[in-house]
Amino acid sequence: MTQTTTVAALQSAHRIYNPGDNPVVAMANVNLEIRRGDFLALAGPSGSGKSTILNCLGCLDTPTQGRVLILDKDTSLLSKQQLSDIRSQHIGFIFQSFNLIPVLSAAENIEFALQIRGDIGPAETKERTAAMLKRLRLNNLGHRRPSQLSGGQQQRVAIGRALIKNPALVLADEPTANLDRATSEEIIQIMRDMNEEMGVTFVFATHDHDLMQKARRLVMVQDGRIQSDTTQTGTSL
Amino acid sequence: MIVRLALRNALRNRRRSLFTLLSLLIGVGLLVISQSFVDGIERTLVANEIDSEHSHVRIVPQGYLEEEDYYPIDRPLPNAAQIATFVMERFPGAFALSRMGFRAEVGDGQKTLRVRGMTANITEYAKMFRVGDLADIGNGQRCFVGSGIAGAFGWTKGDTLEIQTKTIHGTLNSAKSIQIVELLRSSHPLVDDFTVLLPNDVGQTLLDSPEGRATEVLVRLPNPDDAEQVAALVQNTFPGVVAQTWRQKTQYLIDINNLRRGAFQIIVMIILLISAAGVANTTLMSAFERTTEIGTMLALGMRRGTVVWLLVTETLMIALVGSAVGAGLGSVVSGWFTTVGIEFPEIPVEAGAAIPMPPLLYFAWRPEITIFAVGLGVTVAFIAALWPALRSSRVDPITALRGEA
Repeated sequence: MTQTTTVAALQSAHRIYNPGDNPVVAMANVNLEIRRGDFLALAGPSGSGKSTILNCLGCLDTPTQGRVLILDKDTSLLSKQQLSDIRSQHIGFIFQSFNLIPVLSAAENIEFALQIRGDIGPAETKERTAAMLKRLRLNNLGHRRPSQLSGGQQQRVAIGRALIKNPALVLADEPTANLDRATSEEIIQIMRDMNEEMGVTFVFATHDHDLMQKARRLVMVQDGRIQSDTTQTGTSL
Repeated sequence: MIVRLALRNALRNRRRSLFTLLSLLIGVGLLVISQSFVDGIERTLVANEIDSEHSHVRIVPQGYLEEEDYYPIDRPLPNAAQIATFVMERFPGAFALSRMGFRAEVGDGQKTLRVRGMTANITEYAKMFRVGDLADIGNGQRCFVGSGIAGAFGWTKGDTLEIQTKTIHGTLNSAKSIQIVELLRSSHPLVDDFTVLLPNDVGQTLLDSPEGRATEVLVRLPNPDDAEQVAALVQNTFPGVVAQTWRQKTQYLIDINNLRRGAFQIIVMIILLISAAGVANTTLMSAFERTTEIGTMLALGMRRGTVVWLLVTETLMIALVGSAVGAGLGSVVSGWFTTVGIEFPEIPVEAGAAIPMPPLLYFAWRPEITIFAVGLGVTVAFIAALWPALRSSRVDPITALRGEA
């Protein structure tokens, strides 16, 4: 798999909260390049800046200094609406608490991402959703509401929602934190499969050692700074 | 998707949605009922004024209206017969009646009462006005007496009365043993409580008046909207006369009714404001409980405008159902009272002056009232929901996703 195209990048990025009175440096001079096909884990203790990096890569936050590039576009030059469009078209999100819409079924939750994007017709939406449900082994559960699904099933739906739009980048914040060991492994396996088979680029923030070990690239973060950025070999599941 | 999502969200907290729905239902329902009620009063008052006293156009000599309270018989309408013929010829289906009003006193030999005397052709009068059963025009010395006057004296059909007035020459004249043929009943105080109607043959003798002399010509039209045209044409054709349309005559009733309408509208507005507060609270609470969900949608790339639209649509769905059901129920109630009427307390003459209010009031429901009420309910809900929706859409997705908003 070639990993030469840059999907996203942080360049000399700083993020300081409460500048002035009691500044908190969440991200300090971070330079990070996310390449197509990366399966990258951001690891570090709580408060180290992992989530800030994810938020900046996800166009949910903007650095106080420095730049964020998504598909070579400098996000600091974009309006809020354009940032929304980048998120809806190019970035998939997987959350620790799954964050599915409770009044929508599993299938509708997956479709929802395409409907927000707005440029895919109903027929193709249905087709893609059915294929995604099948791939996630949820094809018999598409009609169920999130409350009728287990944690692992909900996270699979969340993965489906993130991937249905074929994003350039999937950001996952502690995707296995609320799952038991067996389910975590299953979720990691699914993401890894998607990465290898479809070339989806994943970036996770995680405390999960198992997930860290299975990441192809491990970036250690501490006090808002990148301590190490290593490519791991022999990480097959 | 937005509509489906909004519908499901609206059904999420059913009790709260029901409360909002009911508040709008009540407000909008009351709006339809009160509007139909007030319109009914207006229509009834105007119709009664036309049917009992004024008709569609009233033509009098210039200056007569200023002295009308004294019924000046020394100011006859010039060319009354020609005016009547002119109108009936120019406006097919129109009907014109000449009459002469005068001041008089009636009595039973013991007490007297000041009244308005009126002479006219009784057959034509019966054709022009609905003031009781005037089919039997009688013969000899006879009259028709307002039911209120009859009540004051304890008179009934067949009784006799005395009447005294001034002739057109200014001399006093009286007639005794005038037999009451029928009582005038119209719900118009001027007719019921103040009018004694004499057939022309009796009245002209009493007033020593030549045949054809009249102080006013009244015109009834097949199309009441032609009244202004008739009035203008008559005034242009016959100098020295004034033509008063039913709209001009009933303007005071409409003005009084507009005060009533205003009072009702204030009450309904207060109810709708309470509903609006409920709507705003529902939207705010609904959004507040779903902060993380809204944060998720924003993170997934939903635009803030779409979030606003989603929240407003939820409220609009509830508002549409509440307003439609409220307006529907209000229309059914109004429609019922349009048919069967509602008893209305009699307005004392002293309190109501000459307000022609019948004892049974019919509502006037129109489809426009229902459509307006639904529109108003939905608009109020939209305005009430907009600020909470805008506020909720401004949530920072990062904070919302942390569940800290």
